[in-house]
Amino acid sequence: MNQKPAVSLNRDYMPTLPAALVIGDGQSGLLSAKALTDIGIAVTMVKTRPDGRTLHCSAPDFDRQGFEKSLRSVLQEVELVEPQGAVSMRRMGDDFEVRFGARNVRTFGCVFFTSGADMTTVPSDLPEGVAAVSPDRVPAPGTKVAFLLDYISPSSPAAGLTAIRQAIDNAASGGASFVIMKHAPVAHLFGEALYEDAKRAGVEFYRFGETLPTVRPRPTDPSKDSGMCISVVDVVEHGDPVTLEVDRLFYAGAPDASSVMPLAKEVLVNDVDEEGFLLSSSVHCHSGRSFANGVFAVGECTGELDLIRTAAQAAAAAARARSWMVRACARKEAEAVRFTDACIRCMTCLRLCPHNAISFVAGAGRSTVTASAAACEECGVCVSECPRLVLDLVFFPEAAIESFVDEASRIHGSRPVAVYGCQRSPGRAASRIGLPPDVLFLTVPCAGRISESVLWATMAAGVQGILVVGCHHGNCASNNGTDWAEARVTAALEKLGVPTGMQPPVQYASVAANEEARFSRIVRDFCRAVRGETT
Amino acid sequence: MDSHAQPSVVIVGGGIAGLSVAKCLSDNGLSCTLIERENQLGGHVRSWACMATDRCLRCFCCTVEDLIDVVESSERVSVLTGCELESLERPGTNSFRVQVRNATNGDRQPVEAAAVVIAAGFTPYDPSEKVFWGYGVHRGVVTLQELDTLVRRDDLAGFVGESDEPLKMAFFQCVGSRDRSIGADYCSQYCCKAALRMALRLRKDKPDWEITIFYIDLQVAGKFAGSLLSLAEEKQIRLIQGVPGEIVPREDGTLEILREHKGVNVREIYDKIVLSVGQHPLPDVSRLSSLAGLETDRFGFLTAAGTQDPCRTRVDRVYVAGTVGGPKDIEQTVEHAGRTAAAVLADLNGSERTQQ
Amino acid sequence: MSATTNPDTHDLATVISRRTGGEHLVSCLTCGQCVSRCFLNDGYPDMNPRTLIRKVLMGRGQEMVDSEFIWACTLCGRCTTDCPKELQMDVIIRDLRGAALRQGKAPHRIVEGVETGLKMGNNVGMDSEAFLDTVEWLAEEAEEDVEGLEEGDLAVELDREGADLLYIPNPREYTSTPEMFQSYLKFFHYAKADWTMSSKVFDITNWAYYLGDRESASTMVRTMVDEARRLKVKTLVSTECGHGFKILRKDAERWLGEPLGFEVLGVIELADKWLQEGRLSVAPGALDARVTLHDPCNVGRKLGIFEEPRRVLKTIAAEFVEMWPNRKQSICCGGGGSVGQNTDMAKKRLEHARTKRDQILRTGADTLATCCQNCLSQLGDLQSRYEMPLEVKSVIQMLVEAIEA
Ligand code: SF4
Ligand code: SF4
Ligand code: SF4
Ligand code: SF4
Ligand code: SF4
Ligand code: SF4
Repeated sequence: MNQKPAVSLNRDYMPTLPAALVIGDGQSGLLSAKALTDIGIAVTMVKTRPDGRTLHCSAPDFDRQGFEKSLRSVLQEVELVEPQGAVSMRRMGDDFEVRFGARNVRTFGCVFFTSGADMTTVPSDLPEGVAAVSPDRVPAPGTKVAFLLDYISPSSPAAGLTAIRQAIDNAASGGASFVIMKHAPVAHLFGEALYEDAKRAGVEFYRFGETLPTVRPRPTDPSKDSGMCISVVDVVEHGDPVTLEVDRLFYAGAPDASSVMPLAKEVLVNDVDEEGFLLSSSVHCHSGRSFANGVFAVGECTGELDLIRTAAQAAAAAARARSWMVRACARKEAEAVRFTDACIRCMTCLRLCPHNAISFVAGAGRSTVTASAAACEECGVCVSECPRLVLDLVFFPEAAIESFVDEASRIHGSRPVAVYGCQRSPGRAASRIGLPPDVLFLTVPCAGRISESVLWATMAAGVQGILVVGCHHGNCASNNGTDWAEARVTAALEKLGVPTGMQPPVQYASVAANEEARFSRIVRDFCRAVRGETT
Repeated sequence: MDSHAQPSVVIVGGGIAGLSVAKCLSDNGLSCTLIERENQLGGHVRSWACMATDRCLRCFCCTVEDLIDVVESSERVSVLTGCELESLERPGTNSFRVQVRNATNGDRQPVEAAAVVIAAGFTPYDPSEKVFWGYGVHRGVVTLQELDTLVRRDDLAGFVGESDEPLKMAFFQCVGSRDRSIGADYCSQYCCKAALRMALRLRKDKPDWEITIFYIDLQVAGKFAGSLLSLAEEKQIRLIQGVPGEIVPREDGTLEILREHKGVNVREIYDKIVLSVGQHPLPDVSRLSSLAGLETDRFGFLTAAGTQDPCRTRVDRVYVAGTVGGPKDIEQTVEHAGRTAAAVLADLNGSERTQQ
Repeated sequence: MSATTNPDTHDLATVISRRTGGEHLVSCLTCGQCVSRCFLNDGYPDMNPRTLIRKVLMGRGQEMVDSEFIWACTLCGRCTTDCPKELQMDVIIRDLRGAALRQGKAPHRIVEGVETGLKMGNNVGMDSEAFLDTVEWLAEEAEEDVEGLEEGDLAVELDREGADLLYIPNPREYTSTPEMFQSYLKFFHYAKADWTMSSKVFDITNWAYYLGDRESASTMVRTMVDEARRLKVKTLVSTECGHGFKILRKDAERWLGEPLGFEVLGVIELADKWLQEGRLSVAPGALDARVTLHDPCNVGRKLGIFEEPRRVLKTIAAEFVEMWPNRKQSICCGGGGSVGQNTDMAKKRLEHARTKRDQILRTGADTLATCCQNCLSQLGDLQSRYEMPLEVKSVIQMLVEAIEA
């Protein structure tokens, strides 16, 4: 094994850091491995499957061969594992226990999924012989080629830029190039210049509108020819469709989410976006970071095909991974969630924890369930959902809520309104704007901590109404804490059976961390409504 | 280097890029000094609004609040607000002496640095020179930033009035971007998505408004961007290719435009028009670049080492982060800043390695 | 352009792309801004600058060569003002017209004007003798009409070598609007200018430029330049004529490929300069008028002369009001680029100018001033066609009135 000691920038603080596991040995994997070794983290890399996939880069100064060479040199610095059998992994304390087949079990401080994704296949209504745009599949020089973008669904911008680059190269080699598109992809500092270069090189652009272009094989012998005829109406030019006859048609697609490695989707079960790529579309998941602390995803499997952006993702994720491991070392002895012996090991908490902080430790006598203090973000979801009420947060114990409820019942004569809000958004807003004295506000770590039982206890204290405020859906720092909060309010209201048209005494709302104005309006409106005041 | 000495990194600019670098480096155990010209951290993002509808639309604005909290409470980051970088000297190959000047009282303060990160940000384009659009002349024409600020203050009524009459609002894309005539021949990369989000946000609050986005080419790169586009289509946001070149005010305060529709020139009337202004380089970017020994590109952004190394510069141990090196949306800025932090870590790590 | 779809009409794009001002043709973003800025967009509802450019680029330029649109276009350049890719519509249209000319499709009246111009040195076909007589007669008449002018005050010594200034008029002055010509005579007299006119070259216009006939246009410029050199003047002064002035100032050196060796000034610039220097004495606000200014496309948008006429008008008139929009964004009067001279366009040019009319009326001005003969002619026609309650005057004409007031 080629593991070298990790060099630390802060030796007084942390002597060594554990190694990282990079799953995938394509370009995204190599970029991740390089980023990690560059900052002194040892890397073990898992070969997934042979894939010649390359990321897209159309930058004018891009030297693909030089880049690939320097990328391959990182292989010298990593340990490469070819797994015999299925790979599986689970959280074990602060670390990850990874099995490469039955016998080979190893421990890593963090995991990078870089397993790539295939491109979507060419839509079936296009004739056979239409090829997909790829950085590696360059049109034969001097031919007549067309590139079809945004056909049915938007093309990946990276593939679109590659198409333009190849159209230029083809025109320069004496060929003729056409780009048929809905939107010219230009979102790069060099994007506009590339578009302009293409126009100057004689590439012809056709922009279609609602009417899709139609494609049929060129009426020559289809067996020896993949020529196509494309009919398109340009939205500016109008008139009858223009028919372009080309030797080859390339289709610019997008990555295919269904090809993302199943293991990754299993581990990052809460971190998949609406299309099925890794990393949810929450703002907390970016730069390769997932909600599962210590687990990262880079490149195509996140839906990204652009080399420059993937490299940024990889580097940023590496820096983040390093700080995650620093934190894990610093919090070795810390405790975030307290478990009592009443635990029946139902694994509800392990399943629900948004940050993948809980592990199950099989013991000789008695197995235990524990939470990593480094990975735990103190959302309290586990606390609220444990069927046995076994758990409590160390820094925000049940007692804090109890004393708030006590306070409410002490002054219940003034019929206060109780507001629970997470510290991130409403908590910040409340501290900025201040609230009227008859509004009792409790900052909780995450709205997900407000269990149904907290709602009942608060109602029993005689408050006029309860407002639970979390972050917007998709913006909760613990992924779904705010969804839990809403679900519990809904459940409580169902049990209360508030008639329609009546103002319910319990309400859920969401704000962002920068919405003090909206928060103040929400509280004001709620108070008025539950007190029966009109505006 | 003494084995207990903490390398310190000076970060110029306390917007989202500078904050991200500071967070990332301090989380990794490095000390940083963050210099911000304004009296508050957060930069432009502080004045932008949340675009959430029934879900977060991933605009990233609120994340600056998280970063400010982390950085302000971090022991490893010393924050100097109301301060400017005055000079930058290099007594040794791997050390800098930075003079920081307090803009209010003129006090100077030297800071020793192992690396310098420039994260000074951008300027939003001021469209007043584009007289055809009448910004600053016609009352119904505002920039997207201004609209954001109103929404943030929960004060849309201050702009559109209290009336319940459904309004017609249009967005003009690429204002001050993709425009060679003003030296800004690049895509600003954030504005298509920002306009789509704003349109969706308005659609939620004002379901009966007619909302139109006039664009040249919609740029929907990045996670969730495709969803923004399909949501816009689903929610009947009109997406029209071609940006009207002139706004003609009418007696009643409404605004008339002319566009081409299926080959025919047609006139349309709007109540409000929002100019999606692009990102331009800072006005004093040349001062910064000469202080740091850097160059600017043909647009005026700080030049990085190359497109494959967009965070380092031609000067060793001097880095760029965020939009000072070229236009970006917030997510890209944060990602770029993360890469910058990684480059700083890697270089400092490398020099420790050679020293050992 | 690739020569794949239609080589011969793609040539049109190639020709334009090689021109100064045409080099950005292929970069058109199809942003659509120019669509809104052309005042012809109601008159030609299915045509606009963007579509025209696209057609030219896609090898369908012949459709445009055959169209009326290219002759309705006034070469005003407003559509491509602020064009993000810096295209120049007037350059494009002139090449399309050039192609039409070669195909025998150019308007006869303009073609004839060019022929006359090349033969006679002016487009009205006047010979030197007749011109000399006219000048003399107009000077005498003005001397009689104005109190304080002595006999011989306005007499000009033509072809005087070594004079400071060579003034070249627009034939409209000494044919249809002699009072205008007299204003210039008086203007130079009041300023005590050291000036002359040529008895051979007394037409500043260049209709060949309108036709995209570059060769003839250069010949016409060459004639004027040679005359200025022969007379060894320091400055060639253009009358209030948009295109003539713009060509001499902006294009002449490039066309001829050599330095002119003298300065080109517009009479409007001289007026401003002399007024500021106190060389002309006028009581501020001497004219009791509420005046507005029409920025001629050539003088304003293309040469950037915006403040000079304003300074003059603000000094001499009781009140000055701006049109909106103005300066670089000014709306064309509707008569430029040969449209005013093209008899085929006689009716349409007044219809197309309705936006201009409304813009003028919104100011509530009683006097509409401008500094281009072509605009003056078109605006005068607009005034009578739409019975606008105002007078149309040249800036110099007003200045002279103010001096005499
Ligand atoms: S949810 Fe409660 S009972 Fe179940 S495993 Fe977790 S702590 Fe134990
Ligand atoms: S508090 Fe939240 S993050 Fe922590 S262990 Fe429980 S569910 Fe996980
Ligand atoms: S829309 Fe923007 S500000 Fe609002 S919650 Fe989402 S990321 Fe935050
Ligand atoms: S992001 Fe959109 S609006 Fe902004 S410059 Fe690019 S294309 Fe124009
Ligand atoms: S304004 Fe310029 S770039 Fe835009 S469509 Fe017109 S000619 Fe093309
Ligand atoms: S008339 Fe003026 S605005 Fe219209 S096409 Fe001609 S130059 Fe452009």
